[in-house]
Amino acid sequence: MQELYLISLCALVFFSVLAVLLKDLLKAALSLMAASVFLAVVLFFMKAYYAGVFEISVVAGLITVLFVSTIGLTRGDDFKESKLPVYIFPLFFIWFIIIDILIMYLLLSKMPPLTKWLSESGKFGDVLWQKRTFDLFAQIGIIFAGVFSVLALFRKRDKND
Amino acid sequence: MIDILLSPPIAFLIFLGIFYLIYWLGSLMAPKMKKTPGKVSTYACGEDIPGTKIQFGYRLFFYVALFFTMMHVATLVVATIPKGAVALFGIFYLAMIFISVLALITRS
Amino acid sequence: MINLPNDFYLNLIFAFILFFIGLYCLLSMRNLIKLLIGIEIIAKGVTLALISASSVKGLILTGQSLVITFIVVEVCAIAVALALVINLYRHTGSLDVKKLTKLRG
Repeated sequence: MQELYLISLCALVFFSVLAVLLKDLLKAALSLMAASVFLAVVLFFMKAYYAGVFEISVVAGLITVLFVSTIGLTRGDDFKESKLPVYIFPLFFIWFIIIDILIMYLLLSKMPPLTKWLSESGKFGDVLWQKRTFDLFAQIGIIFAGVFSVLALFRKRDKND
Repeated sequence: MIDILLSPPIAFLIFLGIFYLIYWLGSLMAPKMKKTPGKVSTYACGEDIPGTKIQFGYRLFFYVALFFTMMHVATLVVATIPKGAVALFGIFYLAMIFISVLALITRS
Repeated sequence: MINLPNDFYLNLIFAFILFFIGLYCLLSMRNLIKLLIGIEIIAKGVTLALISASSVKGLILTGQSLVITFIVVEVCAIAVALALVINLYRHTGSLDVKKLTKLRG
């Protein structure tokens, strides 16, 4: 159980690194999808079922479709990307991991451990629709903004353009 | 015996074998294939057609993708609605999504 | 001693690693779609940090509702950014960031 959790966390980091380092854009988008699937597995381990369903359905499905269609629409003159960031990446990465683990170890020895101080009851729908009603207004506003900005970006051209 | 033969994995394997047999017989009867670059390409394969690339319309696809995104998110949010008087607010949420879809359809 | 899915510091280490990968992508790449992939990786790190903190505190339902709103915001932002990328490609004919600084009459 716990080994499976660690393996899925490491796979999430591995596929994210692949999404950055691969030269082919289509393979990069597909490895981003694999990273989303492993993040959803991690969320299922933490008993966050609704967030996991949203992650695996919206982020791994819809965003990948948008990326792949955009890559298909912009197939053209591929310029030469410089190979220096790909070669120099492991150096920075190992250095950052060592610094990160050291800082977290110091924090762990200084701070008291976090404990549960509240416990919720009820279902997920009650919390989302009764305590967090204003978030739904925010979602409506964001969806309106996205629709009207896409409509403004894909306007039909004039004849003299 | 007949139950084992009719269980789904065994039947699937049997029909897969029959399909490959038909495929192999067809490959014996078909003429020899000459490899041209137009024939092994992924789309519009078959012949070498002279011509230029088609610039297909890209505006309509983005509208369809955005419409699908909105309906997907709205369905997943409304699926978690509790019982009680909050259902009226769910109807308001769906009405707002309907207004944005209407704007997307009429303005495009 | 250690309970892995509820260990806050281990999840925070991985969230910082994801944040670093996305930041490296944003600082070093020249392709526009690669920059958007970097933004997505940063969003994954933020999601992991939010859910792990709420899981430790025992407020898992509130954390999930926050994450759902965050995912909706992320989808809308990526859709608008990809529409911008398509229009820029039509205008300049390339996905290079450095081509955008040149004036084209």
